[in-house]
Amino acid sequence: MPKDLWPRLAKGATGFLLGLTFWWAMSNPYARLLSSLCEPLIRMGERPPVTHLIAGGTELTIDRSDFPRSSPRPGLPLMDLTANVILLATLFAVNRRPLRDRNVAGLLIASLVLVVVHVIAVVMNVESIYALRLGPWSEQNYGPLARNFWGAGAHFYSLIGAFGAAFALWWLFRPSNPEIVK
Amino acid sequence: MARTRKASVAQRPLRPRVVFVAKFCAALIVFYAIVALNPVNDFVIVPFTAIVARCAAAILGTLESGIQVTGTVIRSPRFALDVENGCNGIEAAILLAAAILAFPSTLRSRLIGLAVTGVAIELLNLVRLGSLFWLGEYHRPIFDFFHVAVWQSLVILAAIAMFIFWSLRFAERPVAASR
Repeated sequence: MPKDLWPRLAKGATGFLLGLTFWWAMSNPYARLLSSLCEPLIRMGERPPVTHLIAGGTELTIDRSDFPRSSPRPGLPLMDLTANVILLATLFAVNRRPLRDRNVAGLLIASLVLVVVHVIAVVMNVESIYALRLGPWSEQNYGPLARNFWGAGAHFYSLIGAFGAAFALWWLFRPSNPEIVK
Repeated sequence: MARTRKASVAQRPLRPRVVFVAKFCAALIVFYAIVALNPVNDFVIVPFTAIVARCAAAILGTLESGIQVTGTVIRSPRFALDVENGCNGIEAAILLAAAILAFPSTLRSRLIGLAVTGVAIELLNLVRLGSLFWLGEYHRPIFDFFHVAVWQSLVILAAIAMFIFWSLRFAERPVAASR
C-alpha cells in the first residue's frame, strides 16, 4: 500500500465533495452557458438556422422554429453529461500538494478543455435526438450514416467518453509525478 | 535543492503522457465499437448484465425477502431496478482495460491486471447496485442523485485508483521500452 494512502484518500474525499457541491450549485448557470455556446454551433449546420436551445433548470429544451406549434419539445438532461466535473476535481485533489500553483493551473486548463468537451457532447446529443428520436422526420432528414454517427457519438460519450475525457485531461495536465509518469 | 527539483520537473517529457492518452483514447474507441456491435450486445453484454442482476438480487435476497429477478430487472414489492449498460460495470472495466493496455508493460502483467481489476470492479458494482436498490426502496427522492452523481463517479474513481496502484506496483516494464 502507498505510504500516504490515508492523506490521499482524505484529499480525494474532500475533492469529491467540493466537486459535487460545485457541480450541483453551478448546474443552472452552466446549463445557460452551454445553451448559449451550443446553439450557434448547431445553427451553423442548418439551412435555414432553426434550432433554439432553451435552458430551464438543469435541462435544455430543444425547440425548432419549423416544429409544429402543438408538438412537444424534446428535452436534454445535462446532469449526466457534465457529472465528469466531479471526477476531474477529485483526481486533481488527490495530486500531491493540491493547492500548489502548478496543480491549480492544471485543473483550470483541464476544466476549460472539459467545457469544450461538454459543448461537443451537447451538440452530439441534440443531433442524435434529431437523427433518431423524431420518427419519420428523422428518417427523412438524416441518412443511415448520419443516424449511426450521431447516435453512436452520443452513446459513446454517455457510456465511457465522459469519464474517459476527465481521466485523460487529468493525466495530461496534472503536475509531474515521478511515481506515475514512466 | 529547489533548483534541482524545478529542473527535474521542467525536463520531464510531455511526450509519454500524450502517447499514453492517444493510446488510451484509441483503445476506448475500439472497445466501445466492439461492445456496441449488435451481436456482442445481444449475446455477451445483455446475458452478462442478467448475471450481474442475478448476483445483486442474490445479495439483496440475503438482506430482505421478496426480491425477484427477471432478465436484467431486479424487483421487490416496493421498487424495481433495470440494470442497463452503464450500470453493469462494463463502462468502468472498459476504461480500466484501455488504461492498462495504453500503459507500457508486459503482456503478462497486463493480463493479470485486467483479470484482477475486472473482478474487483464487478464486486464493487454489486455494492453499487445493492445500495441503489436500497435507496430506491427507502429513499426515492435521492436515488437519481446517487445514481448519476455519486456512484458513477465512485466506480470510475475506484477503477482509476486500481489502475494507478497496478501501474505503480505490478506493471512490469517491457525491456525495449525502458529508459
